[in-house]
Amino acid sequence: MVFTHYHLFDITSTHSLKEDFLEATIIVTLGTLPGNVKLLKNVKLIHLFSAGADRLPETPVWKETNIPLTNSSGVHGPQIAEWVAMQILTQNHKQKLLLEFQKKHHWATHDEIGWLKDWVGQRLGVLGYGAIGRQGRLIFPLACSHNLLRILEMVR
Amino acid sequence: MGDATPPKEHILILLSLPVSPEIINGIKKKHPNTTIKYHFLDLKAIFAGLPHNIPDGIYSLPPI
Repeated sequence: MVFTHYHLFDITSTHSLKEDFLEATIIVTLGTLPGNVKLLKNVKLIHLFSAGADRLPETPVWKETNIPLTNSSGVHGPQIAEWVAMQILTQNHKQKLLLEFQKKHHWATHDEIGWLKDWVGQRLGVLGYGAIGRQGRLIFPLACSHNLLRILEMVR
Repeated sequence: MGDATPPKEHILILLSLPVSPEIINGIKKKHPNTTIKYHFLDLKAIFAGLPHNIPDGIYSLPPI
């Protein structure tokens, strides 16, 4: 069998995974599933660790069964929102430039660094108010002191 | 009064990272009417083309 967007493994094994698939009524997985859906004869639900299920439509589980699938929507909210906050602060305070100067043991002048602007009185737009946007609403006030940054929420 | 005992569930958890047995045991305690089996699948080895522990006929979606 050849699938376009996922791997089919060709090793043989006496591992009990197949037997466990046959017995399972609920499977929790990141995306590991049997190619032969007969192994899922008792399965009533498949839950994915991932937030999305982008690649599942390519799979036999999707095409050949009606097993309900659930995902872990929201699982990436904290990480991505924190990463965005970090990137904005890093960019805003020219951290990458300062690190380059630090590596060179160079005490930069004001002209070399340029002006910085803090977040006091700034307004942040959160476009899309899903799991990441909602988490951002919690993170940004913490990152810049309460009431200094106005959060503008734009709900889709 | 009918039989209120729900049917026994068999949960199979396929992990891509090792998880402390305490976590699995905690789930088992919360759900005494289930059997919980779990496997650690070394997806890093799989996608790096190295020997791995997934048997023939089982596929795994690659990381995005």
